[in-house]
Amino acid sequence: MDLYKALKISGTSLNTQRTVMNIISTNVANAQTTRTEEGGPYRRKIAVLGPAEAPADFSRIFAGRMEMGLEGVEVKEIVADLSDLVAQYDPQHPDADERGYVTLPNVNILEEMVQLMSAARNYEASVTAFNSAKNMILKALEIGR
Amino acid sequence: MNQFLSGRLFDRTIHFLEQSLNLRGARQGILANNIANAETPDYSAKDLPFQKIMRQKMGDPSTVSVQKTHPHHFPEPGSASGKESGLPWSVETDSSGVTIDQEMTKLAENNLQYQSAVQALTKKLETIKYVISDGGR
Repeated sequence: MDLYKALKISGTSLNTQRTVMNIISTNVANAQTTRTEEGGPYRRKIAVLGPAEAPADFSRIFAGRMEMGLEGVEVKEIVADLSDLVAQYDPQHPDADERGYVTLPNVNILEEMVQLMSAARNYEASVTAFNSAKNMILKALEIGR
Repeated sequence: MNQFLSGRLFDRTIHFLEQSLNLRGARQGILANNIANAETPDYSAKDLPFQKIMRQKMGDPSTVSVQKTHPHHFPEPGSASGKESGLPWSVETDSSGVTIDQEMTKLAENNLQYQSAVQALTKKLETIKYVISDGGR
């Protein structure tokens, strides 16, 4: 375990939080989408995070064992939120059913904003951790000067 | 390095500062991993018990330890030796998840302690350098 490893771990976190922010942006952008490729209205997407695993290559697996799998974080999968869709009365809408109701995506803008802020804070925390490790490396270069 | 040089010129202080830097570096990685996994479900925060490890390295008389001289010897009771966990040091796991404030505090503390160890090491080496270059004048 050296300090470059710490930089790498913070890097995985930055990458992951950026992906999470992209997913949230997609949710917000599609908050009113009623037609998708799969048919039906858009469903909210959720990123599932998990500890990253060392790539399957002997030396990396060995190194991973040595450092107890400290590999940072990654997006394990992106799943659709299966909660109820929202029905809204709008008879003029082309996708309205015979009773005049349009089925809208299950995206709650407020909830997405809170998730976005949480991801941004996590991103900042990892930037701090990254800078901290970077300062330590720079400081170590001063030994014996 | 022969016994004379390592014994007289580079004394225990330098050796311990080096150990301290190694440990602080490893701890930085563990704390970075905790922060990265702050949002991971079922992840528990990890940490290195720095003082405990340093006390062992410095041979504190209050903690008498038994040396294993054969691989089939039983480990010391109550000690998770590094061999099982993979790291050369035992790592403590806190099952209560990650508290981001706590991790950031530990990170800042670890960083400052690292910097002070580097500072002490630099001063120590400066002293040796001074003795070598100006001692005979």
